[in-house]
Amino acid sequence: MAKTINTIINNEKHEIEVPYQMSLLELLREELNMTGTKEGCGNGECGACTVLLDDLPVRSCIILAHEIDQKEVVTIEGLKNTGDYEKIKEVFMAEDAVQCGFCTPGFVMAVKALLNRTKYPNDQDIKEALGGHLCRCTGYEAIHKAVKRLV
Amino acid sequence: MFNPFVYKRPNNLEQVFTLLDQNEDVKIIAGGTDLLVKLREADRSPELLVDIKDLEKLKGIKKNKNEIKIGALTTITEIKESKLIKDEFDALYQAASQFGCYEIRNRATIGGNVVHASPGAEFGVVLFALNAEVEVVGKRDVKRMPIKEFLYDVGSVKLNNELLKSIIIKNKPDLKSSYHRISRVKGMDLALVNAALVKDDKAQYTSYFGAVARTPYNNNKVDELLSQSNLNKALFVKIQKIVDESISPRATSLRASPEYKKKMVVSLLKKCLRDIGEIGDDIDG
Amino acid sequence: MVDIPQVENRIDANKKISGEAEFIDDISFSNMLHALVLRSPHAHAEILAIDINEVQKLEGIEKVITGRDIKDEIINIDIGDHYPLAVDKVRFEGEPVAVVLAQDKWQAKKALNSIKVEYNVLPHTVKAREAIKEDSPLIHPDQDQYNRHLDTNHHPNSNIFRHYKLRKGNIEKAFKKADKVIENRFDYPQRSHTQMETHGAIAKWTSDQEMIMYASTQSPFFVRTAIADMFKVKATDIIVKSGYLGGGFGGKSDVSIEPLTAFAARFVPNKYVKLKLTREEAFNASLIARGAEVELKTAVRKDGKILGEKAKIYFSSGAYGSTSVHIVTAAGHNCTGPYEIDNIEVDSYGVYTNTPPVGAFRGYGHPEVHWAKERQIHIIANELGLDEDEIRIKNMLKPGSINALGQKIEKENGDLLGCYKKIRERLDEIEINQKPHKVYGKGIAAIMKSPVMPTNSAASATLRFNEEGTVDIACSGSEMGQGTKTAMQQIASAALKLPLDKVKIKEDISTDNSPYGWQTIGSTTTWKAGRAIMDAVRKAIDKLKENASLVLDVNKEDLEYRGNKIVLSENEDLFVNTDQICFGYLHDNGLVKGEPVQTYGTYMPKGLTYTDPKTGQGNAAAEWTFGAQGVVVEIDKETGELKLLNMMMAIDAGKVINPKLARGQVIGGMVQEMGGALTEELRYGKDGQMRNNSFTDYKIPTPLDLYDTDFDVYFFETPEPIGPFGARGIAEHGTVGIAPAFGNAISNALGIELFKLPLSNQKIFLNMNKEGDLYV
Ligand SMILES: Cc1cc2nc3c(=O)[nH]c(=O)nc-3n(C[C@H](O)[C@H](O)[C@H](O)COP(=O)(O)OP(=O)(O)OC[C@H]3O[C@@H](n4cnc5c(N)ncnc54)[C@H](O)[C@@H]3O)c2cc1C
Ligand code: FES
Ligand code: FES
Repeated sequence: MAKTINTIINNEKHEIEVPYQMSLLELLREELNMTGTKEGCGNGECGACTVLLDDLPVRSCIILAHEIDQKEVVTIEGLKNTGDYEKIKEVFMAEDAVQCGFCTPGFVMAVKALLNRTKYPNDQDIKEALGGHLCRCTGYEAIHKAVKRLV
Repeated sequence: MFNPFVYKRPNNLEQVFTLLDQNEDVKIIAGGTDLLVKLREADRSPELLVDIKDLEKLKGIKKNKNEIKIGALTTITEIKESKLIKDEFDALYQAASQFGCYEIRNRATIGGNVVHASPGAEFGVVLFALNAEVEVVGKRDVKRMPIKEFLYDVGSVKLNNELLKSIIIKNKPDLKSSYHRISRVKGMDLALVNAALVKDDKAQYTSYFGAVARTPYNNNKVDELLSQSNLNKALFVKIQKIVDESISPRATSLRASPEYKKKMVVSLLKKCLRDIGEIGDDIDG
Repeated sequence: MVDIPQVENRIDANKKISGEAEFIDDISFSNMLHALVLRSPHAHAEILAIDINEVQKLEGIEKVITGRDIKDEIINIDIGDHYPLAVDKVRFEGEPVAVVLAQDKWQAKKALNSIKVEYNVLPHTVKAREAIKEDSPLIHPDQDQYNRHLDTNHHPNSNIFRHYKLRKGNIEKAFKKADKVIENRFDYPQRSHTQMETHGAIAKWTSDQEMIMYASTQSPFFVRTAIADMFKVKATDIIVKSGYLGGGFGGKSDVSIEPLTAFAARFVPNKYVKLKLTREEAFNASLIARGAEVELKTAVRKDGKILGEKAKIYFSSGAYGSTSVHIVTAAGHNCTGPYEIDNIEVDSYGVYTNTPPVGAFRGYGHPEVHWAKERQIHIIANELGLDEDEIRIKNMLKPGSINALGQKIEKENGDLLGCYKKIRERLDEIEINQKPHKVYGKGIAAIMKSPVMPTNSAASATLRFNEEGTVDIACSGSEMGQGTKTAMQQIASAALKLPLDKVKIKEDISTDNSPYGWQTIGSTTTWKAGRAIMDAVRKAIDKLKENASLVLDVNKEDLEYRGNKIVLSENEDLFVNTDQICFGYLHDNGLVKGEPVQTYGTYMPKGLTYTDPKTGQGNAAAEWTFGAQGVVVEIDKETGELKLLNMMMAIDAGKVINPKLARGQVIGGMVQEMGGALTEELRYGKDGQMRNNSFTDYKIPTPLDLYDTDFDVYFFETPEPIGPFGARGIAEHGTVGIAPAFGNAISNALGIELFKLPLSNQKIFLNMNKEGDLYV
């Protein structure tokens, strides 16, 4: 069974009919073809599916698509034109914080949310922002260095 | 991928109760961080999910004379960022800080945590140690009861077509509290064992331990010893003995063995005491 | 030495950061069917009946496939012991029993939940040591009859499907002469690769009986061969494409879900079928890793000289054997560690167990045996009252030494002693800031690694000059985060003496037109594909000179290639620009001289042989890499919690093509292995079901475990004679000695010896508070 929801995704209004049991992640990837948001676990454990919901980073795999009715979502596709995105990209590149790249959009979203909260994050802020994100390739050193460059 | 269900998001309590009354196979969803994970694994879903996130009456942290009232829908992030909580209840703040990770904290609610009633849940031990009460709202009335009565077994709370409305904690001046946990990794993990300790204005201790029994565990004798004795090495040996004899954590746990859990009860107790400045670094290992 | 041009960023960084990079699950086709798999709930059982009649009729269900649909489609890699779907019997929990194909995945899920299967549960075993007992249930009672591509020396009527023997010198004599014999058993349990991207494949059969597959594979050519063989069709009829991989680490090499996807798709011609594993399935239904019990018995002289060593290695290899036959071998001839031991007796066994099949994982047999060997050396030192450095250095392989395989080690194999000393020096330098309730330990390990691969595991590359003088290169080797393609661009640019931006490397692979490559495993890609590129470049330069000689009307031999131009050696004023001749030289009157420059380069490892069945010796390892690793840990005495303060490696990389990428590979490997050392272990319940098939209870390192860690990576550069510009593989080596470095650090901190991984907080705590050592 499905019902229509009204939502803003990446600054664009959407009125879409969505099955009740569809997750936000499924909506983004399968219906809207925004495949930059990744699924690493489907269980809230890895962070690959992180998006901003009304400005707060959340895990789209354990949110129902219907929960975003009347709310606003930003995905990695929507970050591209923001100033912070260029900054984040620059530091990730400079430190080679990207290997396979599967976890990367999730980390980028987390860092973007961090910069929304504070312009000059300290160690504690960075730990809070990244703590729940898993990366199996980099060993995190490069990611930490990249984010510390933003300080 | 979830199995099909119908989803409704009413914005007042009446509608919620009507839905609860009219449907047999219905579940409440708040942050969904427990429920949706569970539904993903299940072979089928309930027929109806009722999202209560729009219920304003279940939100917010308020100070009311000598009480602090935390709405059931308060997210863990809101708890962590509340100055009121940080000022009054270290243990609550610490539990909120160690809970899951930032993205989960943005969704997970304290009400969901209490109602889910998992034995190692972050807030179980803290709220038990703080002797919290809960407000339960039904179609007709609002009831108030101690959390110890409300949460009576693993995954079991006293709700009968009702909602958990809020959690109430009496704040006494000079109350000190601390929370600690052991986990396998330093990032997101569940507690293998956790502990909350409260020292009240009359220098009485209350300690609770999680993931060692079906519900947050307390032993009067331990609290009495703490309140009445010198806090020295010999005391902790005595406490260890009491703990060893009185709890038997589940042997089949994947996360830690009973032997380890029992020892961690005392180790965490020491960390909590150190935190609130009752013992120094001379007591260890 | 040649200067390798340095890139600022890896070539795919931008696409990955922006989320544009397409991974397998980002690809879909209209009319695509979803494949959902019904999996065995039992570790070992006969399938008595499967009822799919009702399910077939459900709305939206296109097809339900079971083992009964299998005729003789068998996955026959090294051992023909495996079907894409269980036939009559399941051998591990998670084994595919039925596949439902539907356009709507919710309908498919509903159908899946209503399939009824009747099982007769059989006794099971998940541990090699149990499985080798005589009364153990036989997992493959017919293994004698299986088709084998090579003689695996299996034991009839047992679960042993592979027995690798290594014999060197006179072992009994060595043990007689010994002052002391030290015997220990070390466990490295099974773990999971946990690439952040789970496995996926999309397949379609055309009406011409051609199959097109998109897959998250490190080994498209290998998959092609296996699938062609399974259906008895020509390899040219099977097209396998692979693009970005969200991590591989060996778990996407060989084959995993591709045969099943191809099999299912065959029933619905002209439709794409997509199979994408859930995280739980990636844990319990793809390849898993490690799983070795190692017994070492070492004969030593008072002065620390190792006289002889007996080793028994038992791999819990899971339900099917092909993906681990060579791991058993690699572990066998590396279990002596980087030491010269004259008398050796090794028996390495691959044993069937009722778990998912074990496959390649970063380090390929080496971390398992280094866990044993480098702990054993530490323990020997303690028992003899000697310094562990002294024992290591005394026994270390050096130029002129003969290794376990009987190969002579040359200077060009790398500076092991230098690496080891560097790590010791760095460890000594680190001052510890002591905190209350904490103890500290520093641990060290020496390592060696060689790739083990088929003797004919070739690599190749194509090179094409475009009209404007730019170059397109394609080479074998999948990109799964290790930065291969970036390194290839640098190698090509250096060899062609052209700026980086003139050289483009093709990123995806399609078996119908990409250059052949065996598999992207064994850290051999830079080394082998790089070599193939060098070969292609050599041929291209030759062609360019040929064109130039026609234009300049001189002898080809008298010309010199300078990148952007070709000059006459004795008169630099006579030259022609490369971009003028790379597509043939066009005279003003329209006349063309020469031909477009397009070449093909190959590389085949030289002189590799199978090992001798009796002695296990032979030229089986194509290159050697040496190094050393160290860690500094802080342990909480009250809880056993361990914090990593420092982690380091010195490695002889031959030549570092890209320092940033190389460092990332080493650190990534070390941290991945830290998971195995401290927290990761697949756990099975009484009934053989995997109990921790999710991140909730399978804990891999998190950012906070490493936030305060200092890393040091030191590269030595003793050129490897064959590798491009002297480079060796380095992508796996970070894993090899990390577990023993932790074990040794804990021993130094607390005076306890641990023998079984992972070294969890709990294990550390309970052991330090116990009289004597505990084997938990
Ligand atoms: C990745 C991850 C990490 C986690 N880490 C932790 C952790 O570190 N510590 C920890 O304790 N927990 C953890 N959890 C569990 C979970 O997040 C918490 O228990 C959370 O507080 C549940 O709140 P929720 O609002 O999401 O509950 P929901 O999932 O919405 O609800 C949980 C249950 O409570 C019921 N319910 C919710 N609110 C009410 C109400 N007001 N009245 C009546 N019934 C109600 C629901 O019907 C459901 O049965 C984690 C979960 C995930 C996915
Ligand atoms: S996919 Fe959502 S947290 Fe892993
Ligand atoms: S870069 Fe591969 S998982 Fe992070």
